[in-house]
Amino acid sequence: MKVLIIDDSELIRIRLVTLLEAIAGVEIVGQAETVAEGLLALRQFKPDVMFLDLQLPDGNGLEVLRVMHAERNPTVVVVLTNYPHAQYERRARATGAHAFLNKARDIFKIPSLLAALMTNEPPHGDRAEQV
Amino acid sequence: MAIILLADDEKSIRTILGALLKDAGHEVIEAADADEAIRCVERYPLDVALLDILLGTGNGLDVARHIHDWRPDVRVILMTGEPNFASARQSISLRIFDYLVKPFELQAVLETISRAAAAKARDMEHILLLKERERTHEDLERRVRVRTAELNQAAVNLHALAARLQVVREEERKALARELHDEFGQKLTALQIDLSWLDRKLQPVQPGLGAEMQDKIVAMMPLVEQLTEMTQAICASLRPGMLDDLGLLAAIEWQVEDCERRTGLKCALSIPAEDLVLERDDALALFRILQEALTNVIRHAQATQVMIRLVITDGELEMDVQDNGRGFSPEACPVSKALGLLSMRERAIGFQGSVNIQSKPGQGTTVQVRMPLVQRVLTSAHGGHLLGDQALPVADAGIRPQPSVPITLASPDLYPLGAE
Repeated sequence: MKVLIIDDSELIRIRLVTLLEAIAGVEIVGQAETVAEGLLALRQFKPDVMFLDLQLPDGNGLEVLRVMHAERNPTVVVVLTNYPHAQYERRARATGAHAFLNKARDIFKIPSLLAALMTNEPPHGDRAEQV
Repeated sequence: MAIILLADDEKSIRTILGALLKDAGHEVIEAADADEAIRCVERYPLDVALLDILLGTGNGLDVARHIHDWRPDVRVILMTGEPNFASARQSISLRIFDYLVKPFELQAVLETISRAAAAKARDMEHILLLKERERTHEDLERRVRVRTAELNQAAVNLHALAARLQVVREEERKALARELHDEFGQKLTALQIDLSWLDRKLQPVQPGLGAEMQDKIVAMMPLVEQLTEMTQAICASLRPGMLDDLGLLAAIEWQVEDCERRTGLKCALSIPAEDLVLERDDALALFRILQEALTNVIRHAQATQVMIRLVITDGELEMDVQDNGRGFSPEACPVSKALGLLSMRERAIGFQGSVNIQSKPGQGTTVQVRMPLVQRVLTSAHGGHLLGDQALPVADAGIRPQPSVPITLASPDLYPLGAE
């Protein structure tokens, strides 16, 4: 399962990589720090899953979601934020976010979340290519 | 004493009268004919003119007319042989002070002169008084003008200062929130991930040291979690980033929910369903007014319920914050205790709007905010600010027409926030 991480904090990215790579079947294909880099990486790496921070230096992660939504991008998006308000979650989910995680308390949910995703067809797998 | 013009073509009379008047302490200027007399009128600061009707080839009445026209303050006494009707009528129109009919008693001359001089002196006094009064009046008016201008300028300066302080304060809060988020929030998240990693590494739990470490980790996780959530809450309260990201309506909704959650105050919210583009600063000002109003309710009102209503009608945005608390008399509220209200008003001045407080003891309080919209909406095509829960595609984020009919509310009734 190809995973992309968009987060402007290197501290967090390093740890997420460690946390995620420990999970069998997960491959970190790219990392990005900004909205612009994120969109590029998304097109370049076609990840199955993307971890998306909301507060980014050049804008809000919601912008990435909005573009993906408009382009019908099948990547599964997991929002990981320090702004865990219902209003953000509603907007994120309305534009296609699969999960909305609070950085303060939901980190531990990540492995089981990925495990659940892996039991389903990965969106950029064989079937996704045909879409 | 007085300065007297003595105009007579008979030298003997000038000599006699001149000596008499000088003896009485007056200053005497002599003229032998009308032309000379007129020159004297123009030249000397006369008090009284003693004019013979017949002045050589000229006429004393001509001199009197000149005096009447140019020096009306000078008292004129005519010396005449036989006053006839015509000269009497002219005398009236020329405001002659008195007549001396020849031949006259010297004593009568002195007396008449001294009455005329006294009248002139009274006039002068009166004029001086009037002038003094006028000066005082002008001085007062000038001082009032200066003071008024100073006060107006001071008010303008104060508004500008208040606005500037708000901007500085918002910038500082934003910077602080950013730093807090980056330095505390991110590092706490890093710690949280580390703890989560450690927790997994120690699975399955082994007896002895492993179990003790596991216990420690399990104890640390909620602490870091609490710290992170506190940091999140402080960041959000410092800088409502949601205003920028999701628009005013979402930010208001969040603020009201947050208020309800923190205080237990029952909040009802009614907001338009339609989007509206607002300038960023205007949206922020409106949001801060709401925060201030809610803070007042929480601190002072002893209310159990508060209703927040935002409607758009007739080119105007209106926001009401109405509580069922103890109320107060706005007129009797000392400035020192009304700083919150003052700060709301200052915010409203920034968007050419107004804040109106309606309250009576025992009858709750309503804060009513008005913001004129038409101009605002039309000018906000660039860098505008969404007042809605739905982001517009960039190409579509231009001018939004002002609706001519009131926008339908999300629900005709208020919906309780907890119901969601």
